[in-house]
Amino acid sequence: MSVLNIATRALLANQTVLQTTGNNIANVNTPGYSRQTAVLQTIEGQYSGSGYIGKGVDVLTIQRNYSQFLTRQSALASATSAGDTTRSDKLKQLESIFPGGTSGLGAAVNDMLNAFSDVASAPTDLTARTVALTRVSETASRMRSASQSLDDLQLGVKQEIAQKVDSINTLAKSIANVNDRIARAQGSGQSPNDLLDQRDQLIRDLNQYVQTSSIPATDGTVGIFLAGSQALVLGSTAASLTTTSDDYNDPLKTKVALLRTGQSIIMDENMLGGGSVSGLLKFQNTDLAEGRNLLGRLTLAISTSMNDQHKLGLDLDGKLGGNLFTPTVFGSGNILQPAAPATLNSITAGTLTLATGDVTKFAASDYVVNFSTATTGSVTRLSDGISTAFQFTPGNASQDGSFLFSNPATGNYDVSQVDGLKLGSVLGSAPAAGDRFLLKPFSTSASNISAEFSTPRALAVASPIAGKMGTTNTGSLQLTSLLARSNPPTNVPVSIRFTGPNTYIRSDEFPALDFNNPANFASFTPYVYTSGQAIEYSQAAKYPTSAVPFSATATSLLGNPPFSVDNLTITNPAAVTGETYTINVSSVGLDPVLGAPWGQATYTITGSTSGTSGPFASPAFNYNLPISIPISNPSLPGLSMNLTGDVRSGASVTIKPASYTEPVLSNWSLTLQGSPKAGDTFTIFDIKDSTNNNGINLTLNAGNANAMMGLRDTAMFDGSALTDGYASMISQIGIRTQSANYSADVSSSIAANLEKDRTGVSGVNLDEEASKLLQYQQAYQASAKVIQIAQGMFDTLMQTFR
Amino acid sequence: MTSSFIRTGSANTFDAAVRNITSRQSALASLQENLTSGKKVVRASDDPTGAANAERALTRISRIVTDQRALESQRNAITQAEGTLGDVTDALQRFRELVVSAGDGVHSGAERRSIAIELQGLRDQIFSLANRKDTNGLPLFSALGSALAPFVGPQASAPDYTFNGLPGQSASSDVTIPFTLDGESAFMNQPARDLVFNTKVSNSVDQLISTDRTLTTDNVVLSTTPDLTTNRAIVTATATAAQAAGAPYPQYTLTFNAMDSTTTPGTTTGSYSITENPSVSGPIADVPISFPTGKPTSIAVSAVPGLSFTLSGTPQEHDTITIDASPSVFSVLDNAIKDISNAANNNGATQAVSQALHNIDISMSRVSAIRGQAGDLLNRADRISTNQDKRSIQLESDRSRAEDLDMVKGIADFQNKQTGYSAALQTYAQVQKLSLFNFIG
Repeated sequence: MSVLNIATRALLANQTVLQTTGNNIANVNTPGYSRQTAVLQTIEGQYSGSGYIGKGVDVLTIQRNYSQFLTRQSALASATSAGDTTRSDKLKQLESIFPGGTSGLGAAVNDMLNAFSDVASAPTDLTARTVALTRVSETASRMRSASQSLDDLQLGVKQEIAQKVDSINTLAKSIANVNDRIARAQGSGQSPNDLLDQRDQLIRDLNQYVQTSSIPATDGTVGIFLAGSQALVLGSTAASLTTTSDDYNDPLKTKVALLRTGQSIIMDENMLGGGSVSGLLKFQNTDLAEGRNLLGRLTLAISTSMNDQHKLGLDLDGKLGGNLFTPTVFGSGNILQPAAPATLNSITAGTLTLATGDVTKFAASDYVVNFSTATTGSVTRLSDGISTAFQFTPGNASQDGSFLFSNPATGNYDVSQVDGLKLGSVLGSAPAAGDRFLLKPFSTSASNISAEFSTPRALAVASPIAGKMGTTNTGSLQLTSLLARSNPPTNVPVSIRFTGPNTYIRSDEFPALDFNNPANFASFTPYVYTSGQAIEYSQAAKYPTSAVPFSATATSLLGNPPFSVDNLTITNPAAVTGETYTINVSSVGLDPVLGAPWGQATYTITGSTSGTSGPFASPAFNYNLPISIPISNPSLPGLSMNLTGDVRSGASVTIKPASYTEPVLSNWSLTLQGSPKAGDTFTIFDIKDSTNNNGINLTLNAGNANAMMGLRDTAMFDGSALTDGYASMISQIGIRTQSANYSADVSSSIAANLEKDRTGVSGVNLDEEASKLLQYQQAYQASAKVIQIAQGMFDTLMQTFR
Repeated sequence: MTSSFIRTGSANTFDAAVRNITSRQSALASLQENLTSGKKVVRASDDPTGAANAERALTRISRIVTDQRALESQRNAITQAEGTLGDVTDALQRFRELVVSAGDGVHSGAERRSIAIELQGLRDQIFSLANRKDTNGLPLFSALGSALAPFVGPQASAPDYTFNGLPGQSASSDVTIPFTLDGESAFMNQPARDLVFNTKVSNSVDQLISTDRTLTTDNVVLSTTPDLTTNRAIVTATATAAQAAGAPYPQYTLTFNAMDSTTTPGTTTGSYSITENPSVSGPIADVPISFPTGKPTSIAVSAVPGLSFTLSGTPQEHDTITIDASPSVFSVLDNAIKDISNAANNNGATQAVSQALHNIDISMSRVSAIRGQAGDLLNRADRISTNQDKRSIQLESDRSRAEDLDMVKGIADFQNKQTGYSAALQTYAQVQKLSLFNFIG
């Protein structure tokens, strides 16, 4: 009855195939399902004299169609895509916090500064003053609300990270479970297709959160590794991830750590690769931090410069101006020290202090201060990694410690601030080598800014200084601007008298001399006047013209008369720079017989800041006459002197400025235009000085309102004007968002392509299954026919015996 | 295993088709957002450079609006100041005509007094014009800053009028002109600059020059040549220095003494003394004179420090001549009114009128000079305004170029995308209908 056997087997085999096809059709839309194929195999034939007679068909196995390579590629690509898309989504939210146009923060800043124009037009008009104050308060509230939105975004991101880390842990446990079941099923000899599908799907899901690499083990389990090498799942055990903070316990940053066998390993987000968690981490720790720093810098620079300018004014009652905005106070949130488990600072390190310096130099970044020894170290700007070396002078019980930074131009330690920030240390601080600090100067400045007062009378619109022309002036001088630099003004009144169309003298140079007496005019230094150029308070000769403030010291004292310097005089005071000069004689001709100097000498001149010039050749000299080598301007700026005596190779002379105190000069900046005539005068005085102010009413003065408007053009924010600061800020965030959008587009299209390729192998195609249904239905029917024929054969045989 | 090159998974085909349709739909939606807002840059990330350019252009446009508004109020103030100076010129002109008529010899003292009353009215008008304020309450002539009423007077002690302000003129900038004009320059006189002196003739005993003789002076001029390098009138250095230190300019009084017409018949000899109050130049020696008795003579006076003038007529014992600096236009007017109204006879009236006319002419020329400056400022304001308008248009087009959508292109793109989207929807529906199962009976 082998025919019947063959037919029955064929019937069963085809039924199995139809069942598999049906299963495929049923799971056409099941995620992670891999199409299965029943593999048929011919049963080995029976040997007979006439050869091997076939014994039919049998189902060998149910095969799972998949490509390990494509599955892995697709998972990796979808991880990258998930990371990029998450970051791009969040950046879009960040971008919407900083809108352009009239509703933006930039327009508020502009309107605020422009409002001072109306105040300048009508200094006594309380309405204009109220509008200006309202604009100040509006700007502060927009800054605050932007900062609040950043905080909200930050909080959301932080919670999202925590939730996603939980999901990762659940998925890791599930993978470990499935691993275990697969290992057990391994003994049966047949592959547990559905478990494998389930595990692949879990791994794919896991990769949505964090990119993993999987390495198969011999027992059928798969190890899941994070950041290339940190095991999350090994066989049937799973480690867990937690969120934690960075070395400095910075509340604005989140890190994830892997907990395995009681050990916690902090993962760097840049090593995590793709996945939405690393996308969120990157967003929070770089993009959001930059947005916060940009906003903080804008706030701090604008509020500080406006406060400083406002304090240089007088209000309607003649009182000094106060702060317009709440002044920023740097606290423990701005200066962070390492927290456990990171290595802590030495016990005696104490805390640094932070203060603002030149606000126009601000860079939107955090900084790390590292002490390499107790007195030296470096400050690193985190945005671009540029570090500046410093020297630290520790304080004592009564004095704060102080920092001096390396001057990039000269390499000397003579700069008191880095990027507009001043550092110090609290009393009794003694940092040791290895101590480090994280400075976040801009992280909080926008969060609590507000307008300080709302009394329009207290708006300091008037300038504390005023100026008047001489009534007998005959030139065409006009006053362009007169800006105060200190309030109340110091060392006023000051008179300026023009001694010609391009020269003037000023009374504060020698306050003791009668400035109105023509006999004294020659005693004052003539300064150069240029129409439209500011006359600054510091524009004074550094060295007086009369006495010689320089001293010379000669070395190499051979021969007779000894090598020395004489006739050191100042020939051109304006050219004198105040440097220390060293003159080195490099070679000297010698008389071949006597060995005495004879012929010519060459020498170089080295200025302490201007560097080496030369070599210069001296005039020829003769040994039997007194040697005198003249050196003068311009090789020795403004000075003239002679080298005399026994000039030998290697001889050197040092010329130092003697200690000299600069005259105290007034704190203001004056700009005049037009051409003066000799004898024209201009007098600058305290506006409240009744002997000079001609009884004027200071409430009509709008000098400080004009100075406030002048802030609009101050170069700030990496060189762009104050009013353009916001434009560059939104473009900076826009560029980040744009590039994140591009990478999200690219990586999602790569992921889609790879997924298409993967499903090309593993996915169910309904048309294919339909054709299989037809194919195997026919085979099934044919097999049934064979049974019928076998039946017929049997019947035929039975009839023979009837 | 089947080659994956041509195989596609049914579920994935569905997913891919849905994904494509979704992305087309979102592209269409964002294009619609562009079309409805009229902007191609809705978010900074659409075009970061364009967004920054647009933002900067907006900043500059609002800056120009602010500057223009300030310029408008500056222009108003200067227009008002210019008009005021015009009124002042008219009033001075009228004042001058009345002074001329007062000099007519037919007038009696009473008639001169009635003219003086009319002159007083004009003086009050000019004084109130000088202290006029703009719409914001700022004095029009406050120079570099002043009290609410910059001109104060008349005061009991010399100088009779003061300018309570800081002399000088603020400069215009590229976008602004000053709010105020230099009132000191317009209405105040400086002896060293303007040479405005009032000379009075009298007799310390009779109180007047009797009608049987005349004694008048011409106008005071410089006795020294101006400093050519500075073009500055040197009145006297010491007096100017004293004035700079706060003292008023000295008053000089000539008194004729020891007039003797008997010693030498036909010739009168004598001398005049010069007193300086306050004294800054030290004692001044008496000057001897001699002239034919009874005949009008002409005496050149040059012993007054820095000044010289000529005396005409017949001086007698106790005749005095006082020379006062007039520190302001108002002093000139006050002196004219006082001297004309107090002139006891024609001699006094002639002296007062000739002095007044000369001094009014100097004052009018000063007012006109400042008025010319005002006109220049107004022209400048017009130029600035035109320039700013042009810049504003330029900036607006910059902004538009940076962020506004080209509507034609936008609508064309939209049509294009719409066609693509509807094709995608149709093909999706049709392709999804195709299945082998449709044909399996």
